[in-house]
Amino acid sequence: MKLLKPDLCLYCFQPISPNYTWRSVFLAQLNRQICSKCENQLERIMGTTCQICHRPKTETNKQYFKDDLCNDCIRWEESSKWRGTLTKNTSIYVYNDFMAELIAKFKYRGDYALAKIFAEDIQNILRSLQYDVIVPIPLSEERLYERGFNQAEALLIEAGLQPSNILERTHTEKQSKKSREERIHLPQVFKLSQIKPTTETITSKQIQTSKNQQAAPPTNSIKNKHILLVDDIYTTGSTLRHAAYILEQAGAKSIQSLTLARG
Amino acid sequence: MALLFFYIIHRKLQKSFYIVLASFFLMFFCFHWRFEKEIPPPPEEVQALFIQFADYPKFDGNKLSGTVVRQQGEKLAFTYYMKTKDEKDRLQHMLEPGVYCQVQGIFELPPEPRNPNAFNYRQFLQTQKIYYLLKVERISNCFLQDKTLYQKLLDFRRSGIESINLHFPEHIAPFINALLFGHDENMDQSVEEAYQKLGLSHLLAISGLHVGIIIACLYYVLLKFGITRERVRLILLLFLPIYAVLGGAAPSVTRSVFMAWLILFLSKWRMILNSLDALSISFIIFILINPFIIYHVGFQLSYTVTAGLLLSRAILQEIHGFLKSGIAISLISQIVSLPILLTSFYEFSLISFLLNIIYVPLYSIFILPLSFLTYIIILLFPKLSGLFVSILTVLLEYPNDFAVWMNGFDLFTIVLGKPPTSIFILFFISIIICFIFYEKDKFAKKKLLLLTIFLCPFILQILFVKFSPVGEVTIIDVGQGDCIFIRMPLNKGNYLIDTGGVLQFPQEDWEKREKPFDPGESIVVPFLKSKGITKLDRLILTHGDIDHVGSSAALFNHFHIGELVVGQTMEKSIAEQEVIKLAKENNTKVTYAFDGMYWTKGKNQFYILAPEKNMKASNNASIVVYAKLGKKKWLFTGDLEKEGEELLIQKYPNLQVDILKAGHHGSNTSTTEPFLNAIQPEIAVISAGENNRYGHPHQEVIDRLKDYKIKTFRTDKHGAVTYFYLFEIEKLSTMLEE
Repeated sequence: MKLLKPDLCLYCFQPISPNYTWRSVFLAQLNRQICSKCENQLERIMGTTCQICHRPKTETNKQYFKDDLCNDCIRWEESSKWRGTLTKNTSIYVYNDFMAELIAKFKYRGDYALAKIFAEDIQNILRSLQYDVIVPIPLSEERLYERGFNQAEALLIEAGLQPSNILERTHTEKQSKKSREERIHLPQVFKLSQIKPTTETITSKQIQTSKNQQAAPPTNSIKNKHILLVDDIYTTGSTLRHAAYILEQAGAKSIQSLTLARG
Repeated sequence: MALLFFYIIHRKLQKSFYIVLASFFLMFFCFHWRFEKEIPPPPEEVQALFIQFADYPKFDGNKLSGTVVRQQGEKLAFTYYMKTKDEKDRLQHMLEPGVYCQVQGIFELPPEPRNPNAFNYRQFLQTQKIYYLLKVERISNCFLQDKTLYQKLLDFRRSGIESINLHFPEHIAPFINALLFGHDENMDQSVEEAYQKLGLSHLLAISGLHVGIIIACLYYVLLKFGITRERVRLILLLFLPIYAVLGGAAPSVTRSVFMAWLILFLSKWRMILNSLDALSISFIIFILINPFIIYHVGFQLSYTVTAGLLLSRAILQEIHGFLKSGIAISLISQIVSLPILLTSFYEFSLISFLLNIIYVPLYSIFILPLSFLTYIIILLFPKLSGLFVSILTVLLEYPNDFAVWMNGFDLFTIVLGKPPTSIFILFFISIIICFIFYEKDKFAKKKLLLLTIFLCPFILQILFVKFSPVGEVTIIDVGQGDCIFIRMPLNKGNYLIDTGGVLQFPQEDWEKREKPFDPGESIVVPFLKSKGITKLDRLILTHGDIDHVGSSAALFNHFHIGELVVGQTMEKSIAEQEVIKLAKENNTKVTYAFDGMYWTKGKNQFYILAPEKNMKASNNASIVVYAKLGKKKWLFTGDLEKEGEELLIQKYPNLQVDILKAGHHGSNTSTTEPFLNAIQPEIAVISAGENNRYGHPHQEVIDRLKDYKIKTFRTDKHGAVTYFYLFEIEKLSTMLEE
């Protein structure tokens, strides 16, 4: 009878009715993680967006755009310190109410399994990006202890990727409790990790891990490399830019970012 | 076999893959075991056999046919020719499901097809789990025992059909009966043909739509009466199998009823079964019960279209608007059913999907619910039924007339011929690829490539079937009569020498069949269409006997005929005169042929060697065609007899012939010794009906041919005889082994 028991939605725990389509049947893509009702609430970012931060340009917010950049990004680019630090951000979903709930459940309430929902979309997006090293935004040790896992790393691992943990973070107040001004003028919270024994680099496409057992200095894996930073949400872009800044200083050729949602 | 296994794989893919694998092996062993089991024992004669009628037998003129069950539970196809009107009346009154009779007769294996691509009666019976014919000579001692519930249901169905026949006008009743009871007999032929050709027949077959409407209505009505949902479900679970029997239990009915039943049944334990899973499970069960069902065209269409639509649900969800989704649904149905339609009917209609957009809502929203309602009213308040009957009559009359009118435009019918298995599979592969890509990005990318993939099987079909590079000469088995098909490579010319035909003997009214057998309609037309032929460049009628010209009307009906060639003879038979009249009505050029005419077509040469001008029409005034086709020199002599043969060798003493179509069906009045001596053929072909009343071919002729060491082929023994040629390669094949 197990054959007849349907899989349950990872989010709402209702049975998932298998969605048979030509592709799913003939290309054997049958693994669904969430039910159609939940899936329909995931809103993928489409249409025109800001060329840097991937904010969707809509009828209601188009006054905040100038050509194909949004005002926020224009302000970032005006600053000589931040100009070109983050070349481009890519986000998959719109940060709507459902997404907010989903991410909250995922990272604050520790529902690790939800990361599986995004695996396929992340894989697809990664295929279209050019990068040498994939770096998740780290948590501070205290925060990691509190949550049990790093959400950015979890997303990557569930998508079948090996992240390179070459950044470290000093403990501060939660980002979400801060204003934009505070965030931008934050002192640097990231630094390059010094004593990670397993520095693993991922080359794009081949998703191949070269296990350097020797403690290679992280600068080697950064210098002249294209780096992809990964986080769960892009809100102001401050966190990602701070991380990017560090990497830029360490000699990275370019830094892009991928986030699940665009706040 | 290949076709069949392909089907299994194709269908099985619908299920999750581990089930696919398991079921595939199960299926394989099941098949193996079946085929092992069904090695036929030799036909036997029985003196006193008790049989039970499984259903109401069919009375057609003096022929009685139906399905009977032997004591061991084995189903048999029963035929009996009634001798008198009294006997017919008596049997008509007496025979019903459950009746036992004692019969005397012989068992026979159902015949195999005698012509290429012809209807396979043996296979057809196998789809119904029938493996033998019982030809009854005497029937006696009929009695009825207690009826089972199933037989009572059949009685109820029968009485329903009769009451519809009573209340509705004659031309409308068959349609209502088809919709309500799956009883599709006695339909007006022109309308039936129009529906079939325009791809509307599925409307008249009970399917998921009917079952859906019935479930919805019952559910709603019973809930209104205050019955709990659980009870309603139970009632439906009991009622659905009954409905399957009332609906005639055709595969489409059983399929949809079973699917609905399974989903309802599992919902009792809150198990949600996807429709596609239900479809697959019902398919597996069908196959387990009777593997041969896979050959049933209705079964193939029902499953393929349903699976296609279920798989396209995601595509359909994105299409909004009543009209647009209507177009999409009919288009998808048309596309996925196309390979099957081509394999079974050799043609499809381009406007089918447009017509379906009108007809499907008309039937599903108006005609079908109204038919159910009218039937209930007939049952409860027969006096009130008049109004409903007239509404339905109007609702059906106009669409039917419109369909017949539309069918008049041959423009929309594309005859492509029967695809070989490889192209058939290619059709499905290309369809699947196209759907996969459409689903991905709506053909945003690689448009040209996808168009090529979609058109590829069509192009191959046209190149290899419709415009085949292989030339062919086929002596078609039309029973007693002549019909020879000549096809030059690359569709350079299609000729037919004679049409076959059946001599009708005067019959009393009660003996007359509803549809008298016409070899043209049932043999020649399907054969030519299966070859993808739409135009016959020349129809040569050697002389005016019915067994040579009798089926001309069917050919004029279905094909464009470029030129009619008849002999330049006097006092033509009425039949021949009628054909000439028909040709003139169809604006076909009529040529009167006589000795000395000739023409060439590519490397093929044709000479007319007889008759002499203005001979009196007779067998000896047959047109004699001498042709060089491929590497062989052919002589087609019609019904030429001794005198004609003498004249021929007198005029053409040096005639060299490789293959002779022996004159007059192998009668001893033809194929004389001097003639054989003069032309010295390697091969002779005799076209004669199996067990014909004239005893053709005569033993003398057979012996004579043997003496001259001429290899002889006979359509009564070998079925159709075909000679293929491609450049220097040639091949002679027959349908049946001797």
